[in-house]
Amino acid sequence: MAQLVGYGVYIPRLRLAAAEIHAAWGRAGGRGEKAVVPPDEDPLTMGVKAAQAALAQAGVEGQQLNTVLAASTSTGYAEGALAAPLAYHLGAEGDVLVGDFGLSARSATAAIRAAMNALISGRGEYGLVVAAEKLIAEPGSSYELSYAGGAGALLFASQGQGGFAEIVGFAAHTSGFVGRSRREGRFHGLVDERFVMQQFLAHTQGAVERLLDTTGITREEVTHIVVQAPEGRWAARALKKLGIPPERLASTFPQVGYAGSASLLIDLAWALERSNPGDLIVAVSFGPGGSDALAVRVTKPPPGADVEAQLQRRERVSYPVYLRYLGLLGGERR
Amino acid sequence: MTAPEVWRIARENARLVGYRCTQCGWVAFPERKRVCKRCRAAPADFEEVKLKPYGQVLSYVVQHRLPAGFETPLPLAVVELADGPRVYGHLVECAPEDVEVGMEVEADLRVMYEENGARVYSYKFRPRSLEPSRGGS
Amino acid sequence: MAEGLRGKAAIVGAGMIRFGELYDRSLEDMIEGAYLNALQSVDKGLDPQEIEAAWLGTVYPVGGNSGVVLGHATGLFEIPITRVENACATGSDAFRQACLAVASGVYDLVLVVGAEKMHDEPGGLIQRADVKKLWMGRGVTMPAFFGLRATAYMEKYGISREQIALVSVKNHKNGARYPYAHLKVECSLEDVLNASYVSYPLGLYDCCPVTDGAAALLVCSAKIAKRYTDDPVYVLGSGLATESFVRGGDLTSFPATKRAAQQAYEMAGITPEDVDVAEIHDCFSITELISYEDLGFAEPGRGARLLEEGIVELEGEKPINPSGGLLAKGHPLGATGVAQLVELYEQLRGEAGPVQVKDPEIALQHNIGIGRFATGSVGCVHILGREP
Repeated sequence: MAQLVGYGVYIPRLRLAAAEIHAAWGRAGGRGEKAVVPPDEDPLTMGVKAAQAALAQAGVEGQQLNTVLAASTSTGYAEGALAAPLAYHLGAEGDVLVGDFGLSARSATAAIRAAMNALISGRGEYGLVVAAEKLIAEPGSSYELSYAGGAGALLFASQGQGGFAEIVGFAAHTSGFVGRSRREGRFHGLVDERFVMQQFLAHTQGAVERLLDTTGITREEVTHIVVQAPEGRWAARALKKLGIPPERLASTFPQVGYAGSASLLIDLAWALERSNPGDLIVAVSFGPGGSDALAVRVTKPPPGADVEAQLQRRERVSYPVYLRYLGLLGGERR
Repeated sequence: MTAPEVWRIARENARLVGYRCTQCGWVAFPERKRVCKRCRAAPADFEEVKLKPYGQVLSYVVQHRLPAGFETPLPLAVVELADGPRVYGHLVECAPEDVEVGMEVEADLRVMYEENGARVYSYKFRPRSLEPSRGGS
Repeated sequence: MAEGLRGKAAIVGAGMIRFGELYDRSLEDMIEGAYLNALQSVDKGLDPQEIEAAWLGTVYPVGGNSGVVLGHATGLFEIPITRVENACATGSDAFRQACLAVASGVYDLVLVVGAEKMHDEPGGLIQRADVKKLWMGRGVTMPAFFGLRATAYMEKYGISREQIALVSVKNHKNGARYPYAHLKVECSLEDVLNASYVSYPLGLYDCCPVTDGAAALLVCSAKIAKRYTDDPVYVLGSGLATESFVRGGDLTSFPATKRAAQQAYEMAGITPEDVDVAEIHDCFSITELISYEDLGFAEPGRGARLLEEGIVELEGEKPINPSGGLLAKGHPLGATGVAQLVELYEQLRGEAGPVQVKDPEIALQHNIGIGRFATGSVGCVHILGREP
């Protein structure tokens, strides 16, 4: 299957503490923080930076890309490509397959699968997958505690290009379930979160179990697991249900919050950064329509990255500044 | 700038491409030139240069009065890129009191403004970090 | 070798209106006022029918994008009227075109008006900073453009904020006495230093105000000047150059000023030491300091000495900006260059009243413009004398 030759993330350095949000709304407590996207960044700028990090890590030039696929649910455009301008900024143009994946936070895994297919079918040597989000929650809503932004990128190469890891399995678990959704120009509608969590558990479990069944990978072999969960506690519940020990979870949720499709790639990068040859990483997405799970086998020591450094590189913002930066305070001045 | 104006410099702007006068070494950016502004060669021979995305602060101000759409106080610099071109650069991720003449900065892709609902992108500058594998290197 | 201008053109009439926030006067009202004052200033009188051509310097499109507004303001419809625009050096360039026209012998007597209705443009200068520009001066206000020079100048020469502030103190002191000034308030060094920042390192008193105004000059062939007055003021030299910092060089001088001055000095056959009084471009305090050096009044980095030693004060050896300069008089863009010339006309004729300097023979006028979205500049210099 396809080789993984590079990975990168971009995590905005601004962070808002959950306690600060709670305090603004007259509530006590709150743990962790989330990444805040500054007013002059969006999925394109963040996606380009994550992709450049992946390219630099692999020593690949942008013009060598044959396929560029991008996932995002939050570009703000109903029409307006992300993958093509992203590819162009990286130096790729002309005979470059581009594709935009959206309308579900699950779509990062669909983009990964499509990039692999492109490589397997002989479409050039390098395929890039980027997921980037700038989620904006309604002030005061429960989603506000977690909705964040950031970007992640994976660079794949066709067989024979070398690489430090490979995708060794992929499984989907698709249903008609929607869960959280958002209309153009609106905030996410609030749904019964107990119900969504139940479906989240069912879909992630369905996808991971299918992955294990089809690949023959055992639970014990899974050294790191990435679970794309919109709420902080849900991933631990999923692991419990899957029978995988909680310490295997690779999650940046306490520092980054929930960055939709980008969360999967950010957490996967974080797992890769800390992995060793022989490790097996399972990643499972979740969003409207269900889940996909993939297995990554680490074959060589992954090249160094700066995921941890970006997690540490932080600058606190206050709640009013956060509201102003996301355009939620009104007025034009940033 | 209108969409055609932005399109005319799309490549230079997005990928930091300049053109060096083979006679005097001056680098045109982001415009593609046929005459050299410095040595006046006309026509001049220009060779394409992929600009290194970093440079030095030649001078700076901290702007306190600006039209809507800018955050203030805003540090603004004249940046000389490592390959020679001089550009205006808004500084990000840098406290106004930390800006210095001679400071090393690197280009950072940002949304600059919106035109008819479409975002227009270009570069601001942030203090140069020597961390590996950050974007733009 | 071209002949140059020296001794070919003369000013025989000059007038302006008091600058300020003139909400009750339109662009045409202001032009009309300056024109009437210029006509009435002519010692031996002048019939408007004698005016053969006119130039209008104005930047904002308040009066429409042509010279026609000057016809409407003055009734001078049947003659050629040309609108000139060259950033903040607009008024100076309008005057320059008029001088070239009479020197060429095509016309004998022409009118120059510089005018700007800044308060009919919403937002003022700060709001005119480009928001939707890439690379070229996006968000670069004029205080930022000149503030960048101030930072570079302070860094290179070890000059302090206090030294730069001396320009503001001097010019506000002069402006308080000048009848046509917009701002008539003196300020102390502390006032300048404690004012809020507009664009660090420049504060409020380092910046010129937003001003409406108009000024007019009657320019004729030197050969017929005595027909209108026994005391004409002669044009000895004129220079204009453009430059851009993107070409190189450091940010502590304006090469366009240097080139324009060089042209003007050569044409006039004088040196900087010969200048008795000058009106120079002080849109910001730092601009005046740098211009001392560009015009050859001080060595690079030594401009502040002229202030510290009182040389450029009203009573000093080389008074600069007796009118209070742009900082106090105001800077209605198109009117500025012409108003500087009006002031120097009065100085050379001994008519400058409360700001009259002692027996000047030769005067220098200097105007800077910033163009092409803050990436280029224009420098314009004129030298005037009592003898051709």
